[in-house]
Amino acid sequence: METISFDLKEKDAAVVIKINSKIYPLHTVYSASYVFLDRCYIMLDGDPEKEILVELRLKKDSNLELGVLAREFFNELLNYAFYEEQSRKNAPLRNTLLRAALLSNIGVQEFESEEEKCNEDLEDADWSEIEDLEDEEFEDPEGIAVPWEEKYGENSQKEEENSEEKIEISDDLNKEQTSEAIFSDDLQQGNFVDKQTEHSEKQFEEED
Amino acid sequence: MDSCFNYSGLKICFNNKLYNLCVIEESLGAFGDFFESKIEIEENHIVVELNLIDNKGDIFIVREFCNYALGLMQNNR
Repeated sequence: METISFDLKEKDAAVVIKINSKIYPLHTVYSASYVFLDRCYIMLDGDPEKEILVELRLKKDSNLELGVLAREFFNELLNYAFYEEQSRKNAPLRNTLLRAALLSNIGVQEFESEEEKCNEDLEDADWSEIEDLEDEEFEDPEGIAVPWEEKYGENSQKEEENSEEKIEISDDLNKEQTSEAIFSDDLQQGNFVDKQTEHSEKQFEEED
Repeated sequence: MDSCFNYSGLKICFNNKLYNLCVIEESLGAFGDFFESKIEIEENHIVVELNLIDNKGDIFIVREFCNYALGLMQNNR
């Protein structure tokens, strides 16, 4: 028995392909036929358990050759048979990956519930020993145990206040200098700049 | 075996091992603008009789109808 063959019907512009369904099952024939729907008219017949018949009929203004079309149909059958075989082989791996991807969401929920439990346990825990330790006095010569805000927060505020005062003082000095510059006709621009530099140097010395 | 391929004009025999009745009905619904239809179920075939409405289309519409049914078979499996 021939596995696959086709009969050309030139008068009807059609070809009938006979397919052994033990080699190419029905779903493979469906897949291959689906590819040809835009090129020709297809009709299926036969027994899906023994022999499937596929009639390919050319469309109205088609320039295709029926023999070529039939052979391309064989190729498509083989293509889908291979694809389905590979798909069958990879099915366990694909299902495992899908399951892992879908179950990962459930895993997050479990993690969150565990985290909530941990928080509850922490709230219920006995913290008296740690509180006693906190109350005890201890030596801290390097000042490591001093909180950052106590160490730098107030000081930084003081520094800001000092800097503001300095700015006010410097403004007063500038005003004096400008008044000097305005009212003294003999004061040249170079002397004015020298006075400014002297004043800024004094400020630096005070800061040091 | 070749009975299906003898569709001349407006009577089509679908092998019921290869085409579902629901697919045939859905296809008839899709082509309802072109023809009125009548379905008969025989031992091995679903026989569809088609009557073109106002001579819309031709035999190629009938073949397009067969293609549509085959497309649905592939998509519905």
